[in-house]
Amino acid sequence: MKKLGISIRKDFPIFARRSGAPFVYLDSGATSLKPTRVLDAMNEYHESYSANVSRGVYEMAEQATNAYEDVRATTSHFIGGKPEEVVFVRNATEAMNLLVASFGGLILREGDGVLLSEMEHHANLIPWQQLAKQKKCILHFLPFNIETGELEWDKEAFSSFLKERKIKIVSLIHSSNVLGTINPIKEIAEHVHEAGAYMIVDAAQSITHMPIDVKDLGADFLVFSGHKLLGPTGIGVLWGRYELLDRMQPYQSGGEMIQDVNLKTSTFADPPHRFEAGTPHIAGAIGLGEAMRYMQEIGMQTIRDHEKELLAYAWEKLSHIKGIHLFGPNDIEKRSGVISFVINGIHPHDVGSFVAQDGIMIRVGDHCAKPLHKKLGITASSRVSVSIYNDHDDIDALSLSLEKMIKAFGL
Amino acid sequence: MNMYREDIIERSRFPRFKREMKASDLQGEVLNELCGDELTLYFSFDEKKERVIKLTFGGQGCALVTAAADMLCEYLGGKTKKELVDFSAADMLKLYGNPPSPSRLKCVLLPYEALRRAVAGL
Repeated sequence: MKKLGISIRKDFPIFARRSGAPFVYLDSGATSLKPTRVLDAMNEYHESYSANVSRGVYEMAEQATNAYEDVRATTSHFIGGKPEEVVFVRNATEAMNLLVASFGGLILREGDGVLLSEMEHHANLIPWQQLAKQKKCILHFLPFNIETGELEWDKEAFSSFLKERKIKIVSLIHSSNVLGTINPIKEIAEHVHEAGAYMIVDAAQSITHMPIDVKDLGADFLVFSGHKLLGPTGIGVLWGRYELLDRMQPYQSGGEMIQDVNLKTSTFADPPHRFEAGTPHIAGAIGLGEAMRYMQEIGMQTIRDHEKELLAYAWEKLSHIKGIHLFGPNDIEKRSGVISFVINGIHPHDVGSFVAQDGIMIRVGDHCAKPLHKKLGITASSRVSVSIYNDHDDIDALSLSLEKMIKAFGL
Repeated sequence: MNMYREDIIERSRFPRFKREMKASDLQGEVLNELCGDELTLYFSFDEKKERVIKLTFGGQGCALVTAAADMLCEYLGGKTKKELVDFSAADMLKLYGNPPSPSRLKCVLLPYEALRRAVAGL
């Protein structure tokens, strides 16, 4: 029997809670469902050792501190790197804002360039726009091909392109939250480093779908949120090479991030604590750690294989819907997590509301990627996203509901 | 409750009042932030500039926006300026008759928002 899909739903309490009505959750790209283990780990902290971290001298505080700090090691087992390179933040958006302010602020001078792509989530776009205005830097964008959904970049001339435009930082989405495209970060990063620039990877979507190793990818920084990874909301990770983190100024200041404080001056703690002002989301970090252990026990390659098979099945099923247009790469090796589409003659919001009446949850809108949608010539799309608990039955239900909708709309 | 009643779908597919008016006396334009769609209402008044003689809409929208706009244009034809001003959100929902889900309420009320923008210019 298959390990994932229907047979793993028992690990997620929401399936039992909502068993009275159809429950087809195809919106894990927005946020994932949470396994009992994660919820138990967070409850255990609140019920048994809910002390603050990094300050108490009593046993319970030490237990809380250890549990919180251990998640850095869990994270480094999950993505590579060292535990002291793991900074806890609220989410990928906060990690990106921290990076733009602290690392962008350190590296960029007037006239320097930053390279992004046309398929970025707003979280990896707007903070750079703000900094570029402030520092008089220039934003450049790698285009994507509308047909294939893949980035278009000239491998041969890439290093010289970066040097000529004085590009110091390249920040790219690992896997598009709309097109599903897995970008060739490893290959791009080699050229980025050759040109003496830095590589930032937005792994908010990819982190839950495939094995990731920061060293293998060639990332200088990598960011993700916990809640798309079967973990709780309000906790995310900024991973960065220690020597770079060590050169960066704090993003927020206050308690827990200092070395010494006088009335007029202060010195700051070493990374990662330098970037964690105030009491952190302790329960959230503990929950995230449990989520990462849970996923590692299943195996990230097993998860990737399950989702590849499911996405291929979904692509095939959906492509038979009348008037549908599917975006992004057809090659499953180049896709992860999501399939976005439009249906001629039916607005994406109507698609979303119609299938919702059958208990099917998909995402509709611009998915925080307006420039991407503008390039596609649309204002919104519908998006199916999958996780370890999804199976053929979910795709079949969606397909049936879409057929019903086509009929109801007389198309 | 089925949000996609047959008559709503019918109106959205074949709206009777969907056309741009080149020389209108009054316009009301809104943007639906939920999806980026735009809607414009075009008013044409009688000689005394008292009553609406023609009301049409333009722009792009979902089935709910299109059906609601079409119903509004039909209903407000022949009404006085005062009646336009007095038309409320509750009136719009009553006219529409088919309560949408909370997240889609904005779509049904979008034509009403366009009306409010227009009457602000009276």
